[in-house]
Amino acid sequence: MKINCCDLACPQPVLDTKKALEELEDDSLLEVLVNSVSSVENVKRFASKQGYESRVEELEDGKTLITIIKGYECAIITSEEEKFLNKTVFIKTDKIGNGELGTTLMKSFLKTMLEFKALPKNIVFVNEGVFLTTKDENLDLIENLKELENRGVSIYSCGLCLNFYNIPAQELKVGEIGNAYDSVDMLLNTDTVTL
Amino acid sequence: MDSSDDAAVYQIDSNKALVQTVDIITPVVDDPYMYGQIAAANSLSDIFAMGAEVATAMNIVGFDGCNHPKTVLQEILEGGQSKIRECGGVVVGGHTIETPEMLYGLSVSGFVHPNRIYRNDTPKIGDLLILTKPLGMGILTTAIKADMLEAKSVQNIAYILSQLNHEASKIMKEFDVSACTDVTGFGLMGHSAEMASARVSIAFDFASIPYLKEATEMADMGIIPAGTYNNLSYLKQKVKYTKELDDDIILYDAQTSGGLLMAVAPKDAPKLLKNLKNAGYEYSSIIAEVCKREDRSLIV
Repeated sequence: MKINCCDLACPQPVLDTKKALEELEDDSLLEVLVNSVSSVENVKRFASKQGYESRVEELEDGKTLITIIKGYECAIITSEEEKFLNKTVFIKTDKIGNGELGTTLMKSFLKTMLEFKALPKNIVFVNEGVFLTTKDENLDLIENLKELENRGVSIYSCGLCLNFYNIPAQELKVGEIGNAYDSVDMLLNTDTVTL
Repeated sequence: MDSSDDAAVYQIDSNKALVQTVDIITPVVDDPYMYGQIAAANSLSDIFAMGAEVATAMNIVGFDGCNHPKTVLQEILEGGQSKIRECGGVVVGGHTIETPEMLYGLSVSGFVHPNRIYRNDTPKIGDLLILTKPLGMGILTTAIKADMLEAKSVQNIAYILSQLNHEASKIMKEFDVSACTDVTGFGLMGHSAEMASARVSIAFDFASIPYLKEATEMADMGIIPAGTYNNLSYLKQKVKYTKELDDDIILYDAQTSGGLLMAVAPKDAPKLLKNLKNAGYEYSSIIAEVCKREDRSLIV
């Protein structure tokens, strides 16, 4: 949305901005065109008091364009940053290392992850890893994964791998079935920890 | 008299000088009677800042007769007259023209003994400054126009605006006051800079400067009149900051019908302050000290 508040005396630019922001949907932009120092300052003050970010761009003809971001984008990003690491845990097998110890280690690893405030954004299970999200013998571990999912971690199990091991989709007990595109996207665009 | 003083002075004889001033304002409140009172108090103020007494006043009116009934004009004039009477003046006529925007104010004449004129730029080093009304009126009258204040706040603001500086002016004459001005369009910093002139500097204690808290709330919301920003940009280079302040915009706020700013000898300051408060200037406060000239006029 764009409003023109040129040649308007205070408080009109602020009142017009207020009205426009009220009408505007969340997470969208309002552009306010003004042509006096007082209007620039007042509209900026108003936006910041409402908790909105704004940026100011001086145009050639003595006018100034103020762009206000309606929404709490920044606040959300900050809290998400605190909560989630830009990381993907890529799990290729149902064990860490070999044998019985490997199974115990995997269980303990995923359980311990719950104790951390900052969690990875994604956990991707591929190849033998998909046993962990489907098999009845892993119910304890699946409970832990559900808890991670509740906290906002995205959990994917590779669809191709489920097919390969003849595991029907309804056996999946936590998270979603992932596709190759999503997996590659995560591997390329987040830091990846491979287990 | 030089041109930066509050009113024009014409000496008639060795015992008498004529003091003249004129001011008009657009409506600051919806109630016409109240607007009349405030506009009159605003116009009369310069006379009191000079230490003079009001003799006569003439109404100056710009009125949109097509869109407002004559009774509105009648109420405005009655409001004005009530204030002129309150300080012992007489209304001796006036002039009305048709204007799209309402305007009202007075041309006022008063008298003062030529030796007892209070100048605005003669404070003595060591004197303390007392301000008799709270700041924030430029921001708040803008907020009233925007309909952003509660009725109770508006009432309080209208009362302060309509309060005459007459009693304060009479009280100051009993004390050792070296300079006086009224705080109006240039804000506290503008009128203080005039008071400091090039001879002294004035050091403020920000915490003791009276202002209405609604004014800083409204300032945060971006309800600040252009005049206040003009003051800020013009005066900033005259002010030295000793610490960072959040609400310093209030110091530059253009006042309507502001209080008197008096420079008083330190020994007299507590008694003068007490008498002002007892006379109904409840926001009165000692806000600054006149000191030796520094590189800047004002220190906050």
